[in-house]
Amino acid sequence: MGDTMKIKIKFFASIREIVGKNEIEIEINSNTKVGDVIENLKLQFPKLKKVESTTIIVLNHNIANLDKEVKEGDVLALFPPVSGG
Amino acid sequence: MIEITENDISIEEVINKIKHESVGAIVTFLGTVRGFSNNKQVKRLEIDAYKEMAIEKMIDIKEETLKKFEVEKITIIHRIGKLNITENIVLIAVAGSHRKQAFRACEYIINELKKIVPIWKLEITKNGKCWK
Repeated sequence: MGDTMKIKIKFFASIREIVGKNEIEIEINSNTKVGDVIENLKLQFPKLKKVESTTIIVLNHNIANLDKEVKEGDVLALFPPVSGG
Repeated sequence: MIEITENDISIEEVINKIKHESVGAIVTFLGTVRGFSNNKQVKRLEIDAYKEMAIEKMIDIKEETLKKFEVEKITIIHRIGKLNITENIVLIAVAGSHRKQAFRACEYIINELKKIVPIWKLEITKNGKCWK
């Protein structure tokens, strides 16, 4: 049975400029991993491939494990290395 | 106190809030907007943050610092939004019984903040904009 679920993806700083959005909500199949979501994002926003190696991916406020399955209501965030302070 | 704000920071107010009869030393770090970066004149900064995560990480840093160092109170306030040259960006205030631990704790906090808190600076110069 193909259950689907919704998750949010937030973009910050230079990643926000590349994608052109603050945030999107996507509907995905259950058992989808973080890595799968990222691959789909790269298809949707090809310019993300250029910054892939320096982009930080966070799941629910913690560095994401790309093999982890996402759950309904999860929040992913993509951003460049931090520069506060 | 942990805060992310668009408003300016009152150092005096922060210090007055953390004074206590057990406190003999208050060490502060104030980060301000520098007018030059990589030999370019900076017109202003625009600071962005993933607020919910930034607050969480600032609280984590505060909790870690209280465990690692013998200090009593910690305040971390970071601004976001548009800031002009010399404006205040971040204030860290650490109150302890004695200065040695307060100095070390304050340095630890700013170093950790710069590593893990999701905040970014956009530098606006006459040549354009650049995320730091």
